[in-house]
Amino acid sequence: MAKIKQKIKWKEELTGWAFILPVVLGLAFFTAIPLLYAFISSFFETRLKEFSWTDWGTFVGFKNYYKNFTVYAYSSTFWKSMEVTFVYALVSIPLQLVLSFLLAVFLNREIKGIKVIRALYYLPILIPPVCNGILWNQITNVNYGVMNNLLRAIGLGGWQWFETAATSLPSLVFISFFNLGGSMILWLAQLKNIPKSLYESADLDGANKFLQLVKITVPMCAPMILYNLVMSIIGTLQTYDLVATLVNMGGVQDSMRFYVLNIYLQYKGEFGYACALSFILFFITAALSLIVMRFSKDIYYGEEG
Amino acid sequence: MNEQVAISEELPEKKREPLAPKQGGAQKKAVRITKKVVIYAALLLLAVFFLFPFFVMFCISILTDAEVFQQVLFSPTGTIELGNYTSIFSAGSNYMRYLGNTLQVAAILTVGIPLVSSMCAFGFSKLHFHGRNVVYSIVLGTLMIPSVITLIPLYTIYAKLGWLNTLLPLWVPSLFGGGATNIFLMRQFMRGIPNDLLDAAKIDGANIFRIYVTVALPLCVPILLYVGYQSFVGAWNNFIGPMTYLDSGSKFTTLALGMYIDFGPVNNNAYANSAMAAGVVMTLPCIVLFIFFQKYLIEGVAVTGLKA
Repeated sequence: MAKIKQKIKWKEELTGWAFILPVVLGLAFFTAIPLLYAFISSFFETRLKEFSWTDWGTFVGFKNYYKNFTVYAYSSTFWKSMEVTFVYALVSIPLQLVLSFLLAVFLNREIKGIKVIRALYYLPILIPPVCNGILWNQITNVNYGVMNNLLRAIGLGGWQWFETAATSLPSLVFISFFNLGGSMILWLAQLKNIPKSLYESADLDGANKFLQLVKITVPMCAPMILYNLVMSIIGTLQTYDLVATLVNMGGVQDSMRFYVLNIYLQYKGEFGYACALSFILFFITAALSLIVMRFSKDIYYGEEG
Repeated sequence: MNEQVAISEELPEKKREPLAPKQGGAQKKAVRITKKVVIYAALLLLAVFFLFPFFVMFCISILTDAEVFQQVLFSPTGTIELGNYTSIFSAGSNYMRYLGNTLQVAAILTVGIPLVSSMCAFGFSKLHFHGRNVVYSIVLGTLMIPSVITLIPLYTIYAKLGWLNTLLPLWVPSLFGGGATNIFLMRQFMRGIPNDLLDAAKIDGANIFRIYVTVALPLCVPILLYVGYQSFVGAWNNFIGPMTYLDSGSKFTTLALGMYIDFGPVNNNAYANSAMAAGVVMTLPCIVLFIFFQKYLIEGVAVTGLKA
């Protein structure tokens, strides 16, 4: 009897592992091995070459990590990429969170045609990033693009777009506004979950719409604020497609040299260094996520806790 | 009177009527109509803003080469140049080759990822075995890893395997599990399937694989469609993958990479009108699919809290 039971248990174990076999193999071959390889390589000076367990290049210890602080040729591009990425993140993320939230509050009403309107606002997200980059690259060209001509028609001309270092990031922030629809949909889903009774009792107490927004809507959306914040930071740290197709090689005076672009511009000649840079990115991402999640402990998470 | 209107404005629609005094009806109606007009005007203005990229892309795509340099949106002479489109669809054009490559990858992934990820998710949600939770935690943990970390070392592995300048790196890895996000979504959905249903099939003598195919999968159609759609869009838009693993000029160049090579900032001879026509053709399938699957997508976003 016991033996039969044992046999059945074995079968159960095997079928279970058979079902998850693809992801187990995938984790081993396409995540664990490359990760380990990159980690070891980050301590070596080497060019990009074929995978090999024996030939690593020259061992340099932590040099690939600390030369971001000590060797000018590396520190200049590294800190420039940090500056560009974080200035953009600090300006654009709060701005986008607030604007998409206001947009969602504005669209969260029952009127005719509202579903079509929501879909229309969402549409720009569907433009492939490569097409989006090429579109804006073409129309913002100061010499023959149509954008400045259009601006002149409404009395705003002469914006330099991606031609000068000072106007590059603000221009990118402007372009990102067309993607507000993505966060807007998330907010709308969250707004629908707020119980109507809260607003009804606030009405009875005589609270006006603004007070209701600040005292009910915003706190009830807190989990979403956090989620949006973390995802936006991680997304910004990995900005690549749009920037690569918008400007050539990091833009004027490296004004658009985002972190991943910086890695990408160097990985062929300095494979070990590029690996070190990507591990630094990993630590930054992990640290930011942990900080935000820790701060979130005081936030009200709705009735189910 | 004014105060009365102000207060009643704050109340939900259905509660307004009894509070409003009869004699103020006309004035109240006027206020309500004005409010409605203002709201619709604002909505329309915002719609113009959000549709601006599409509008510009389309307008430029039907300009002639000479008109591109006049920095206009509409042809001054009223000509509509469709040559930018016909050259895309002419037999043997680069664009058709790019499209063929992208469609190959997209077709494999659109079918493959939902199947593979649902299989793994079934294991994680409905089967009991040792190590299940540990492996699942590791799968979720990989969400924290920026993709660029593995992108570059994978280049060396693909170089060793001889996969560079083929389409293999663009689809083979995705079929090993289908990605942590998709497994997560599938598992969340499958947890909603009552175990009684599966047990009933088990008592009827069906083996576990059969239960997965005939009981679990049909119940998962909404999430399968959602994951399939995301897989298609992912394959369609993938740029950094082909950019890394394919040389410029490779015969396996995909659409996103081809767009970049032909019309991106690396190419100073690109004409805006042909670039925009190519862009319109590349964007169109995404829009059509979105309209087609809108119901599932909006639901999917609402359920999963993930945007496209």
